[in-house]
Amino acid sequence: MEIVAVTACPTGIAHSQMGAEALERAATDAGHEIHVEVQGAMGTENGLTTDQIETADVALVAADIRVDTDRFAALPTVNVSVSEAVTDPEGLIDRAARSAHDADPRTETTPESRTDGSHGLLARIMRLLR
Amino acid sequence: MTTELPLDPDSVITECLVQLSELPTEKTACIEELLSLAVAAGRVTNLEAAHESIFAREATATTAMGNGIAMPHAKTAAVETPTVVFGRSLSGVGYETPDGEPVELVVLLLMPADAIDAHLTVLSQISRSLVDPAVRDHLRDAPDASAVVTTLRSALVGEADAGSEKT
Repeated sequence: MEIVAVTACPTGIAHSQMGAEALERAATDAGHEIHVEVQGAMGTENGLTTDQIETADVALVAADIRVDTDRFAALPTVNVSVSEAVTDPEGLIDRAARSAHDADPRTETTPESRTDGSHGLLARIMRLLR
Repeated sequence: MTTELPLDPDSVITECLVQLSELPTEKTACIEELLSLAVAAGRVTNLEAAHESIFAREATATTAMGNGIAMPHAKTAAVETPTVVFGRSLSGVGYETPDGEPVELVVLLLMPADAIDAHLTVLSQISRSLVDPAVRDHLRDAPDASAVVTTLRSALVGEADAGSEKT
C-alpha cells in the first residue's frame, strides 16, 4: 500500500519530526510505502508531490495546526493529533490501511477475501471489532 | 536552498550541557535546572527571555512526547548558537504524558531566533533519533556525560551507529 502523510506542529522541530520518523518506521515495518511531509517552523520539508498523492491509497494527517487537506479530497483520509503519530504509529498505519481497504472498490478481490465472500466480510467485521 | 553554513555538531552538545544526576521530579524545576546548565555554559544571553519563551511553548501544549521523552524547546533571541541540554530522571518527571509512560529523558532544545534552516534541520535530527528505542536505551544507560555526548552527536549528523538494528 502507498501512504501519503503530513505531520505538523507549531514549531516543527520536535513533535512533527518525531511523528514523521515514527510513521516512516512503522509503515516500512508493515511493508507499506510512505511519503511524509513535515510542516512547522522551517516551512514545509519533503513536500508531497502531485504524483505521490495521485498514486497513494490513503492519506494520513497528524497535525496540531491547520493543514491544507484539499489535495487529499480524492483519498480516504485519517486525521489525528500529531502526538498520536509519536505514541501509536503502528496503530495509525493499521487504521490507514483499513481506511484504504474499505474505500477500495477492488477490496472484494483482494486475496484475503477472494476465496469466500462471507469470510471476507467476517474478517472485516473482526477487524472493526478489534 | 541558499548557501548555509553547516552546524558543527560538537558545538551543539558538550559535556557541560549534560546532567546525569537525577533531575527534579517537578516539571518546572526540572526544565529550569536544564536551563541553568545552558546559562552556566554561557549559552544564554538573556535568562528571563529564554525562560519565558520555553514556558510559553510549554503552555500551548505539553512537550512530553511519549516513549519516556520530553523535549521542551524554544526559538529565542536569548541564545546565539543552537544548543541541546540533556538530563534524566529514573523516578520520572511530573509531566502529563500522552502514553502514560513516565518521562525519564528530558532534552531541552534552544534555537536562536534567527536560526537558519540548516541548523533547524540538524536539531530536528535529535527528535528523529529519539524514535529509535536503541538511542533511548543508550541515553538512559549512559555511564557518563561523554557517552551521552557521543550518542547525541551521532544523532545530529544522522548516523545510526547508536544502534538501529533493522530486523
